Amino acid sequence: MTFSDVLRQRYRDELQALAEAGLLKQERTICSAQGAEIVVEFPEGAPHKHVVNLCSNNYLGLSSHPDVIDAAQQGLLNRGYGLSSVRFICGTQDLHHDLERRLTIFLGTEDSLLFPSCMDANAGVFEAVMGEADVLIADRLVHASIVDGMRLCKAQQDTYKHSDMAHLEEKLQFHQDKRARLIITDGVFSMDGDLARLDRIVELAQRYDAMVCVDDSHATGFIGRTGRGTHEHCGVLGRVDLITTTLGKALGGASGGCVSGRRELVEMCRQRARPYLFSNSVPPMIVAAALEVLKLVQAGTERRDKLEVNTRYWRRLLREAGFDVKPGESPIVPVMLYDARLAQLMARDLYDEGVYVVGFFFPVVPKGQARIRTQLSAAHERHHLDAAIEAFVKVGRKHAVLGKSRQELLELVGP
Amino acid sequence: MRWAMSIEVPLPEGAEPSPSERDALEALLRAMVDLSHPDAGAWRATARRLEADGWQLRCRLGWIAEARRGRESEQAVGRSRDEAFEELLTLTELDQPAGHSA
Repeated sequence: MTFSDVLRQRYRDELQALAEAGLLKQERTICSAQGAEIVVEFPEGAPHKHVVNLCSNNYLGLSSHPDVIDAAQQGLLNRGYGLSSVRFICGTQDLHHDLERRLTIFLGTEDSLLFPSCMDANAGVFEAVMGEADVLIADRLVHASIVDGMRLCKAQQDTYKHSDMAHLEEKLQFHQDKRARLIITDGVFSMDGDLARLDRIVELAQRYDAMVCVDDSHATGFIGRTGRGTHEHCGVLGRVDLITTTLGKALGGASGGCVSGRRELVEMCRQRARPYLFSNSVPPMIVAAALEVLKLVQAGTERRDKLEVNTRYWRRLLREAGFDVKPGESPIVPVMLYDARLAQLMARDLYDEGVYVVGFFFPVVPKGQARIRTQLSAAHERHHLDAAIEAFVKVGRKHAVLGKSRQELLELVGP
Repeated sequence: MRWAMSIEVPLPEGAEPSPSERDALEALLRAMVDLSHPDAGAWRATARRLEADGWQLRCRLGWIAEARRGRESEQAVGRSRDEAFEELLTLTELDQPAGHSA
């Protein structure tokens, strides 16, 4: 079949429908390095604009750190640009093993295996370790990559209501006849910024003979006293069987992910996880940079401490200004507006005022839960946050949202 | 395999089977044809080929439950209708869009 006019029209119609539904994603062009302040060209051809960035996953501010860039350059010079191979043919360098050892120590596990991304880790891990006689039981708000990974696995699939431990227990009881059970959760849920109740989950797993898998992508490097992740925060270090996480957020923000956990489970991934087996190795410069990132993270807690201080400060500023803020302790701070159009308008106005944020609405979040998600970084200084709150207040006043409850906000925009 | 003939069975005048009743009737009749003509069709040759490749085969009758919403669709198989719908529910709940963000 050729790409006929009929086919072309079909895709045009679908894209048009997305645009009309307000669901078309548009990329904004960043014309600077990633950081607390960035230069943006949006829309295409518009003059470049300096804005405070409140929507990146650059939690520790390491994306453009000079030591990280230098390490990447050294990696490039000493080990080349690419491997032109998957890991098990001729794509494993000493650096890959070094990084896997360092990740294992940092995460407090038994072994680790690098993947091209955490999306790939999640796509491959379940099929590698669970079979048709087993069951996967996931929190209903896990990341989309986990859903994809579950669908690729032959095991029976089940879910429990978000963070509802009674419902999880019910499911664990129901599935006692299965050969093995694997509970799957995000460590930090990326839309609300809430943390999984890992202490309770591990306790239930022990009681009902289940394993636990945590995607800690929005936690590794800064959640927990020394930044090891949600398992450290919840006091269950060494008791989580599988952790998947990313190098693409706090740990430098380039790309790459890993599966870390029980030695045998990781080895099963090495033997059977298809995204590992059939994707090229993580490039040497990224591995070298990630090694430097881990060195920086383990040298002290200043960055994660600063992130915590920034988060508390920003939450306080928003609350005092009269915004409806989702409670929590992670650097993901959602400003609730409930209405999709309002979230879009405010995000646009904030951009005009020099603050880069994104409005999220259905289908990314449930209907009636539209919000602007703000994300803090250790790269933010007080003046960034003070400037940002000024813009938020100005735009909040313009749209008369300050001090309003959910009901009042919904009444404000009408049906 | 070409089918040599088909049999039409008129329904009583006034009978208005629901879509699921029509599906059940069709499935039942197809099952009867398959069971009463076990050598018909190409399935034995296919099965032999799979067995030669080391597969252990089992073929059972069951239910297929489907859900469609716009571009989304889910399909689940079960030995009973209950089982198929239970699985269908799990699949739809698995991928609710809420919270699946970058």
